[in-house]
Amino acid sequence: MFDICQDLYNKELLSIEDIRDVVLYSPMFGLTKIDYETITGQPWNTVTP
Amino acid sequence: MEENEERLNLEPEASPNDFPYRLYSKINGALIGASMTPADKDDPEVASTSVPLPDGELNYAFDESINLWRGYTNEEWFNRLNEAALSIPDNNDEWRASIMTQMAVLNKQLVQLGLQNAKLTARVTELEKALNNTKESETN
Repeated sequence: MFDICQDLYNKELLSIEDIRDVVLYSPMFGLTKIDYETITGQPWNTVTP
Repeated sequence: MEENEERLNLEPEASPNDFPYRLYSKINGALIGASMTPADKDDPEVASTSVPLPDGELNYAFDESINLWRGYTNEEWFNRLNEAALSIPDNNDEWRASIMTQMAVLNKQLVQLGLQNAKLTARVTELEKALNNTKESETN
């Protein structure tokens, strides 16, 4: 799932907010906060839900 | 006849720097050729520059942000083209992205509705209590 999200983010099909929403609201996809930081390069603690 | 042959032999010697303008791809900046006239500004694919090519045997691409040519080794150039090709999303990518965002939106709404439901339940319980109290006080 991490690879798919990173790929889609690089292709600009998923925005930074989309990645955040997947981490926050779609836990079945198994994307973690560390994955969010790796994909977007942004720290998780600045995220507002 | 000999003169013609000489001319033909000379042609490959001409470098892009012998022309006033060098043409490059607007998509990846790759050097396409050289021209006596600047490229059409409305052309979606080809642009021109008067910046001369640097000396060297590298693969050159024009970087508009710094207004200079960047050189790439064969390997770098190959990787660059590959990345460009990979970064074009296909239908499958669009489908996956839409499913992921849709799922996230639905789950977000579900969480919000759950919270709203909890608030309403608490409010209903409060009201029931108040109603029972008033009923009791009335019967008394």
